[in-house]
Amino acid sequence: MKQLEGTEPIYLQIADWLENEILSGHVRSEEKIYSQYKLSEIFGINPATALKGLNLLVEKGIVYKKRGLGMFVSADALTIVKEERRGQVMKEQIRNLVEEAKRLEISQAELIKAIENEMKKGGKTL
Amino acid sequence: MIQCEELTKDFGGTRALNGCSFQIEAPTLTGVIGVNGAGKTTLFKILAGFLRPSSGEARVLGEPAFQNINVAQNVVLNEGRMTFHANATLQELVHSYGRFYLNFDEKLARGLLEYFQLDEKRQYSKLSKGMASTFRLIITLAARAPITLLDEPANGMDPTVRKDLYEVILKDYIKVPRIILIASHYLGEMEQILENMLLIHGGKVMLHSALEEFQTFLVALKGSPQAIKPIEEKLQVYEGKDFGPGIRQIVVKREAFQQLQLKEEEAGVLKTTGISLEDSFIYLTQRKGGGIDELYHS
Repeated sequence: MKQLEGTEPIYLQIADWLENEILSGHVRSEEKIYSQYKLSEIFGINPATALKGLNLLVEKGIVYKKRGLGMFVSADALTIVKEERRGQVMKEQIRNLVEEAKRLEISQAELIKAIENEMKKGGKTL
Repeated sequence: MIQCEELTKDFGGTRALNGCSFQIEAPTLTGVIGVNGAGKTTLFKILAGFLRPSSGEARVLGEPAFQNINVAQNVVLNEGRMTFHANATLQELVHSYGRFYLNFDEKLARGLLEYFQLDEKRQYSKLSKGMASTFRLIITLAARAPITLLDEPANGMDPTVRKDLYEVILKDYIKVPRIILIASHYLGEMEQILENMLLIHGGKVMLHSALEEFQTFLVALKGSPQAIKPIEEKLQVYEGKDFGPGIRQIVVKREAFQQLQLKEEEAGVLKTTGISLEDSFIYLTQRKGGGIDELYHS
């Protein structure tokens, strides 16, 4: 049983976890995604909660239902997840970064320079 | 399958339930929470048909619950003060439950007894508190009653056994979906197996919702006192705290906060965070005014 933590509602944590599985390539397009009951077993959560997590991905178009067969990862799943994360996660992280930079009195030019350096150094992107 | 309408129950001068109304129509694993004395145990005893409401109505499977044999066979109640025959062995108790509850799964009961290392030949009265709790939960679940009421099922158990038992409850529910109500103070530990929450406060239903609605019912806002103050004046504040100069946090209803429809520049300076189920419970049920801080400052 995997451990969930944090104050976020469980179904959101499940949706996030599923998106990460897709991002990291553990589940690919047109493959069957974990069923409600499988998720319930993995995380020890109520199956109704697991279904809410899956349904959230259906709403976003990341997962689709095949009648009688279960839920599958859609063709555009990766694009949709990446798009979404770029929009929300990056915005949030940049906001925190800028806040911290202000507190430390780092100028805009210095901050941009630091980001450029980090990107060159790391070299790796998603 | 369960309909409670304005249930009231008085014991002498004490009102244990005070207009308690709710309905449950489909299988669910629901957590029943409330501070000590909120009325949870009284509610369970009324649903099991052991107590007659002072006023209002409790219908279970369409029939009034009180002293109704049809209800009794379909409702199983597990609570710490249950008494059995003084010399009864676990085996004898398993058999008597098996005779009374039509769907009783004896194989499951034996399997669980073995897993939890409870010797069938032992007397119930000789078990430790935790073992007695474990045993009661086993026969209660094995009864497979359409309505299963667990009142503090984890009392006296060590954390390892508790963890196992939450898993057993969840698996048993998935195997045979039915109405299972669990009253427990170990909220944080078992929240993930639950689908719904029923919060009883002052003998009434304060909140009956899906787990995630309960979890997002309140929100914490953090920001400078200048940014927080106008919000604090407009909304009901469940808790306000200063984190040193320049940072204040308040806890308010999420919906009420959203209805303020703050402009981007007002909302942007606030940091909003979710609140754990356990803390939500504490904020919603704490005594108004005063508080522990004040007691010690006077």
